[in-house]
Amino acid sequence: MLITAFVVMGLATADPPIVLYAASSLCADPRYPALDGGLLIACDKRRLPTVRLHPETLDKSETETPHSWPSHPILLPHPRPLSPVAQLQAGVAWVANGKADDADLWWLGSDAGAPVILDGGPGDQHHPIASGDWLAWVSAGEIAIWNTATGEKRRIPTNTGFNAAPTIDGELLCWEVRTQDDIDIHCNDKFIIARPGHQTHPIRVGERLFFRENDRLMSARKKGSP
Amino acid sequence: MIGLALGLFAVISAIGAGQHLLSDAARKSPTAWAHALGGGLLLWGLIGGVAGKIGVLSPGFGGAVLGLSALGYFRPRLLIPPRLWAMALIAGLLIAVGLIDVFGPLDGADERYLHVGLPLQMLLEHGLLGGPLHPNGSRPLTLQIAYTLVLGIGEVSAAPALHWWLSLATLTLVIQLGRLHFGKLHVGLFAAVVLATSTTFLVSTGQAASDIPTAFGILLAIDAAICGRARQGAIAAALALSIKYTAAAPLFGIWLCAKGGWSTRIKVAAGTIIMVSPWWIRNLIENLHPLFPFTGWPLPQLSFEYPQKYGAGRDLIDFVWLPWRMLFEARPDTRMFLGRLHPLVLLALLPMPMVWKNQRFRPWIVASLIGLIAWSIGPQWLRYLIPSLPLLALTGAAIVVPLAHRTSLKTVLWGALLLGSLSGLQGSRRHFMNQNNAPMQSTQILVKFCHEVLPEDARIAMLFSWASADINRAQILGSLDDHTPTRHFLLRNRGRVVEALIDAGATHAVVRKVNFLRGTYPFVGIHQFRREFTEPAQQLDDALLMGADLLFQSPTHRVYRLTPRP
Repeated sequence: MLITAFVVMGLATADPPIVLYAASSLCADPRYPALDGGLLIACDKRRLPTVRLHPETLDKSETETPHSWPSHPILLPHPRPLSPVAQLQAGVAWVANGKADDADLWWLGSDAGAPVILDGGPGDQHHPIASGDWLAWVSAGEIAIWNTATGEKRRIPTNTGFNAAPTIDGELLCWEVRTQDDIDIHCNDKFIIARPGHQTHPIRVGERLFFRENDRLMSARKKGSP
Repeated sequence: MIGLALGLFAVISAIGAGQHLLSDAARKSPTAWAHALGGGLLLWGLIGGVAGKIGVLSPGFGGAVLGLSALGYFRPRLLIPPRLWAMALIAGLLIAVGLIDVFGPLDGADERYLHVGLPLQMLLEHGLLGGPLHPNGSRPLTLQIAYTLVLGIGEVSAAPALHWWLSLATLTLVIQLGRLHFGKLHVGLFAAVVLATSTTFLVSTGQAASDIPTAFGILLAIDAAICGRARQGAIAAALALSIKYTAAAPLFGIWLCAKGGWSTRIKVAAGTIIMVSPWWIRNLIENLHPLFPFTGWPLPQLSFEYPQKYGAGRDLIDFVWLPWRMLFEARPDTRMFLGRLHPLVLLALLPMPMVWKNQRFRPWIVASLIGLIAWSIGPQWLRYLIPSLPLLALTGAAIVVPLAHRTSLKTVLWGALLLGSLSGLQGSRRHFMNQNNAPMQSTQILVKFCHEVLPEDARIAMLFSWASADINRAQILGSLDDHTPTRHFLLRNRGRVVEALIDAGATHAVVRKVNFLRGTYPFVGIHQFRREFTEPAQQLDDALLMGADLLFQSPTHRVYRLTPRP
């Protein structure tokens, strides 16, 4: 068995999380484990992202060549080094330097010629993520959501973005929250991971939430989900 | 090329300033040029120390010191022996390959966080830095002040270029001392070839470092001691000691054998102490131990370094085998000795009993052996032997070269020199061929991020990082190897690390991914290892996760913004 049950305490809305030992080798590139093309990309013992995990069945496979991120068009202003670029059908969102040491979010629509500031001003507007037509990002700690097809916009009042990006799957969003003692993960469907120690780097796929704890990749399923 | 020209100009300027410290008689000695150069460097260190203390250490100050010193070159004139230029040319050819490092990016960890990193920080702050937040700034800074002067008016390559010229001066002096003290030019040439075909020495020539300039001071000291020139001896000893304290051992050997009796020796010692003492007094004024950072850390107590970590072991049998292993098992790419020497550095000393009764050899042998023994007791990295290396090479050359009085023996000797150089140069090719790829890509991305994103007035806490010279922002706490400054800060501020960093003036933190291996510290108990190494690193990660904003992350580094919390 590649998957071993892990003892949990204090879970309000999740079934007991499990450690995904098959995907818990440390990665040299801190962007992994990550989701790409519907598969969870994790690292092998050489710390390279060659491990593929099906997010539902948790079946593992390995590739010979390490994973690489899809290329994006040349963007101006230049994205910050190693910062994520969110690509949607409607356009591309990325993070560039603000006026101080803060970050601004830029947008280049598929049908428009010139990039525009999507969200700027004081504070960090960063961590763009995309799922379908939805684009989300962290705007000075709050989460902003924009449906690029319908134009619908929402904001989730919170204080995140201090470490890893939120995660999005359709309209489902999860993000890191600092509590008095440690880092927990909250989702907008009341799915909460609150355990002793830090739970970071959320990846939401349907009813399942992947996260990191003590350098291990964990998986939790929302309570009552099939 | 500007850096190289500036380095040469600095050497000429230092000679200009230093010659005024010599008596008329001393100015006419064949080695006057070298004593003037050493005196000039020492003088700059003291002037720069005062300027730094009052906060006027700036590019303008550097230009003024270099310019005024250069004017001092013209009157009165030093004696320049007719063969000196030829000797310098030979020395330059022997270490020409070191110029690859001078023109390449900064490669050595020490030059990045100390020899170039610290001067750049002093220029940013217009003054001396020191104390637990800048522990390397509390050492005697004679050489770093010289680097500061050239870096103030030139590009970064000016510091390694100055060092390359000082290396050339050292090798020239080696050739000259062979001729002067042993009567044969071949002795000096032989020793110079042994040095230049030792990877440890050769690789160091093109990096901004302190070992070869220390060796230069030691050579000046032995020249002065043998010639009975007390003032020059004191200046030379002060120069060597105020560049690197490891000079103390060979200097003690020289001092024991110095010409002139005990009254002269006591005067020389007193003069040396007086010229080094401003650095100790400075520490006392700043409420530090005079020898900080090597001792006197505020609680919690930590070892500044662990000599046991390096070398071939500390048991009696290890010391018996040490000469063999340091010559034939040392490799530049392994941490045991981290270098490679020409075998004749030690093998040429084997006939030493034949010359022991010869008074001419006595100071050379005593200083060489004391230097060698002190090195074996300390961290056994071969570059730490560089200060004594020219003494060893010259002593060995002076012993074996006269033995080869027949053509057949000469052939054997020069053949051994050639064959030994093949062994001594192991690792050199790899070093110089890889030079242009030196900085890791992830470090380059970090530097790009810091320069693009962090405000000009940011002050960065460099935690477990030695990329000081790469980042053009004010910094605290850069560290290397055992990361004692960073670990000490974390242990001292356990539970309030982020607040303490902010209190120390830091606005951002650059954190290098660190992984202390238990196997590297087998001499430390497991509980002590956890308490002093792994736990502080983990607690730092926790503290930053809870109290700072992550701005950048690469495979090797993270950058945080430290914002005071309400």
